[in-house]
Amino acid sequence: MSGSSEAATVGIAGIGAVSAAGQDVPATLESFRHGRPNPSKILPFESSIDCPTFQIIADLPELPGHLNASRSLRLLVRALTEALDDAGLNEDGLNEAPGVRIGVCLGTTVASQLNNVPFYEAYRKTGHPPLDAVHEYLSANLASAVGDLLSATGPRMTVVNACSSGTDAIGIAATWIRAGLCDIAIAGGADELNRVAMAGFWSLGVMSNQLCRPFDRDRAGLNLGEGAGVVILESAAHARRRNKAHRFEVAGFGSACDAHHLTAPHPEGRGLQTAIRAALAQANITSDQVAFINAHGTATLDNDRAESGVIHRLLGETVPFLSTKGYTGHTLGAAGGLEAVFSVLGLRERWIPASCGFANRDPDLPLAPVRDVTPINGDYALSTSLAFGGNNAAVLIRRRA
Amino acid sequence: MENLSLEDLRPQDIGDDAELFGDNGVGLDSLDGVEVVVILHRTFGLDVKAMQKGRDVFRSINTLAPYVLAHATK
Amino acid sequence: MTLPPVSVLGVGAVTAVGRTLPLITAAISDASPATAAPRTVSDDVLADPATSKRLRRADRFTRMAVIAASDAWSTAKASLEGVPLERIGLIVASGFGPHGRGFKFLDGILDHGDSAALPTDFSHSVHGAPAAYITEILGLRGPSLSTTDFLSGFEQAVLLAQAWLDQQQCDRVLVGVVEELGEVLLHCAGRMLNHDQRISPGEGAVFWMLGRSDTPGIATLAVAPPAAVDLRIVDQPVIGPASPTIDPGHAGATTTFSPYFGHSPSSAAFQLLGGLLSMQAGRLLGRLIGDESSAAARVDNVATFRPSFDPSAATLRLTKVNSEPGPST
Repeated sequence: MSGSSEAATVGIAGIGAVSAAGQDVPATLESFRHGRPNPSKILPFESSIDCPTFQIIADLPELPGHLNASRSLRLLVRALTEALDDAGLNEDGLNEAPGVRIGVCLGTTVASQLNNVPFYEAYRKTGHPPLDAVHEYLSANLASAVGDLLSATGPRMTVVNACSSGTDAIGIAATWIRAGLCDIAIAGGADELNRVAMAGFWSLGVMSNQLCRPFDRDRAGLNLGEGAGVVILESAAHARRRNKAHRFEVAGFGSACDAHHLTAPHPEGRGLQTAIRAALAQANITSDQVAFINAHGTATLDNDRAESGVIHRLLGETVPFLSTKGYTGHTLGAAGGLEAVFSVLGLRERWIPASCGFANRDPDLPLAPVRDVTPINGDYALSTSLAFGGNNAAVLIRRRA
Repeated sequence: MENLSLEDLRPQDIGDDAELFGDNGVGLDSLDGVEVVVILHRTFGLDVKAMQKGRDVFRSINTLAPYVLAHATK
Repeated sequence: MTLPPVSVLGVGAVTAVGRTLPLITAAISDASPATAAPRTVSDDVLADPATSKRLRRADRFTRMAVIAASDAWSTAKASLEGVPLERIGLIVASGFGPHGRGFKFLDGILDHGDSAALPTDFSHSVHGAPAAYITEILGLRGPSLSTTDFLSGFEQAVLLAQAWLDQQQCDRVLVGVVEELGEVLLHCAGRMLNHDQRISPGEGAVFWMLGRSDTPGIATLAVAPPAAVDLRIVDQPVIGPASPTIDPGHAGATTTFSPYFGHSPSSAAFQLLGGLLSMQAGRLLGRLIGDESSAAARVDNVATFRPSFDPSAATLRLTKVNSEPGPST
């Protein structure tokens, strides 16, 4: 699949992001400029686990009826609104044009599960709990809810690939655009801080009780965060009809499994290697054309070891890379969406921030991330995601001129 | 034993000195490892972070038993 | 724009009426099933010696998916020769996911505290657990995707598989669904489902091995706009009148497999299985609606249809290989 024909081009029409790093894209850039993380002072819920989290303090849109109970959905709509504005598309604009098909592909973990503790507690106690939590859960399927809000008629999919969901969602949406299944696709992901997820990651022994330190010698695990990252993808043909030219594109994508273990990544990152190679091949570029990498970089011992090994092997020693999870925490289903937005920003602004949380190089790792704001030359950014269960996804963003 | 669902093994089949983890031993993996940590925390009150730091303690029953006895709070 | 149809190269299923295709065919040949509700998978189906060691920590949800996926793999074996494992994709769709294990994890939190819940419960309570097992057991190294939807998860999965194959991202795609009926879900279903319709919840897993249409298979499959077919398949209540919204102008026969498999967000995959088996048997199977008898009939093409949704919405259409041209072309 060459990137030169119009049908194969997948433009990025708009971006939107909300995370602990910032309520929107401009606020995020400010945090990045100053290398300033914003961990929460207190947990947003009761938990005996004492670990830093990255909570969002921001106004979130009010949604109708049961939808408003889903924080993940409200975060999503916030980022979506910013992205639609950025794309020069607003809700009316989308609904007005006849024959425009909108696809919705979104990743999440928390919003897919009936993990409402008070509901289950009541069930255990009384055997007859109020069912509001169930109704709310049934209405909160992300892609379904967003599709309904926009009266979208294209394909819809909620991706639950754990930590690679957001990146996978973007790859799928790009596939839809290329297949002509829709003209515009809303892609990315959202996840909220949640007591159950917190207990889960704690139990796996991968959560740090200090601020996370991606790729650092003394790293001791991840911090959880919440957020939403959205990219609006658009076919070249539809952009032409709107008289818009896209400065950024999804140039390539790859997704592959380790086929190794339920929770541990393949030590040599073989699935990630396959995914990155596929993305490079689809974009028809060589590894030296990659200007920088937004790595998954969760700060777990295993991830950072496997991932830095792959980066070193495929992309060499000199390519600048970073993890933005020191600014956002690990936002699970939102991570891939947020990090695609951050990758667009790096290409747009021509700099990437310091890899927050990194201080000392790990002698066992072949590489170290950037310590300061770093200028960027080049037109391609790679964003990688590695999920529990062994799925790996890589997306290549291209800047045109 | 019940928690790990090791089908054909009975507790008496595991030698005190047998390697618990890895293909050459009883065959427990990293997920079993974190499970054991939580079970020991629940049963004996052992500190999770301390157990994560001292992974060598989990090599065999012979290395694990003294650790549990020394640190149990329940 | 519609994508080219794909070949069905193999199918595997774990259902309330059994696991092997001959057994399921025999069950759905009973035109007046006396089926109890809910439609659950029996435990002996899940005791599968071939995979049991690797499934030692897995619950019913993951087991159903792994067994059905393995069966689809076995039936498609010949078509997989020489296909590199990185070229085989996997899509697993589920509405409710592994909620049984999820509530077990919550038991751990409530009984022992947030910091003492069990990691194996957590890691198996995420939707992606079956896909992780399936890729590991079958050695799949291509893209692996887990999705969730309450309405059209299977249809969307098939559509994406068509796109992956058409764009050469994969040479084979294993597409499946899995749903379980845990205690909490059954409780909620009992209170929330419309009692007039007496819908019977169901559980199980169905997996389909798909390839591009130039690979010979047992049928071709596509997500396509509604069109006339020999056998239309609808979701129907267990006992009750036929839905009044069914188009009386439809020329072919109409049937439902709901009484055998039950309802779930993934019903479409089971209905399509019934359609495939009818095609292979050359008979109208399931609980027929209207005046049809299950006499031998031409069943060269079948399609799923959901009268409660927008009638212009795309359906799943199966076409027999080497069938003569007819109303479906």
